[in-house]
Amino acid sequence: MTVDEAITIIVETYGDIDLVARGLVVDAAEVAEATAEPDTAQAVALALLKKYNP
Amino acid sequence: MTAPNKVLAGFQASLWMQTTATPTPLTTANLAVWSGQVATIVGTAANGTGASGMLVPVEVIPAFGQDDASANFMVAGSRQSDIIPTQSKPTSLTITAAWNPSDTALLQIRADAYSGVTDRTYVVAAADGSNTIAYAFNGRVGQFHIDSAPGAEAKCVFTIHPRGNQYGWSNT
Repeated sequence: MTVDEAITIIVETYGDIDLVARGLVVDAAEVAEATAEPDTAQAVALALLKKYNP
Repeated sequence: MTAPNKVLAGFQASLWMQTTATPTPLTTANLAVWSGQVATIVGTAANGTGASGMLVPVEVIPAFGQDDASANFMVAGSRQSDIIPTQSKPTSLTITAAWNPSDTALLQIRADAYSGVTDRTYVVAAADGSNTIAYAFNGRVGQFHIDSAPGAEAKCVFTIHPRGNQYGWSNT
C-alpha cells in the first residue's frame, strides 16, 4: 500500500485512527520522505504513520 | 496563532454544534484540524468562521474527556495491590440550558434526541483573545428533558454521548 492510499484511509475513517494506522502496512522509507501541510487531516494521518513506521 | 498559554476561566469556554438536520460529521482525523474544519463550526466569537455551526446556549460546559475504568490485581505476599486502566468510554455530557422553545440549536438538539441516531460534530472552544483551543467530538443526543419547575426559569436538560474514539484537539 502506498503512503497516499494509507493517508486516505486514515483521513476518511470514523473509527480509531490510531488503531487504523497501526494496521496499515506501508514502506517506512516512503513514510519518512512524505510530507503534508500543517493543520490538515493529511498531516494528522502522516504523523500516525510515522509513529508506527519509524 | 497558537493555543492559549494561561489558566483559562470556565466562562471562556463555549459549545458549538453543526447546523442542518442531517449533518455530515467530521471524520476522526479532521476533528483535530482547525483550519477549514473545526473552525467552520466555531463562531467568530471564539475565532472561528461559523459557516456551518451555531452556538448552543448552555449554562455551563460540563466535564468532558475520558471516563475512568480500572481493574484491581492482588498479589499474595505483596503489601500493595495493583490497579491498571481498562477500556472506558468517553465522558457523556449532561447539559442544562435555559429553555427558549424557539431556539434553533435547542430545537435541533430536541430533534436529535427523538431520532437517537443523528451523529453530529460538537466543539467545546475556549477562547482567550485571538487564541482558541478546541475539543471537537462526534456525538448523539441521548436524552432531552424540560424542567419547568415554577420556582425558576424553564430549563431543558440534555445529554450528549460522544462516539468512541471520535474526538480531536486543535487550536488557532
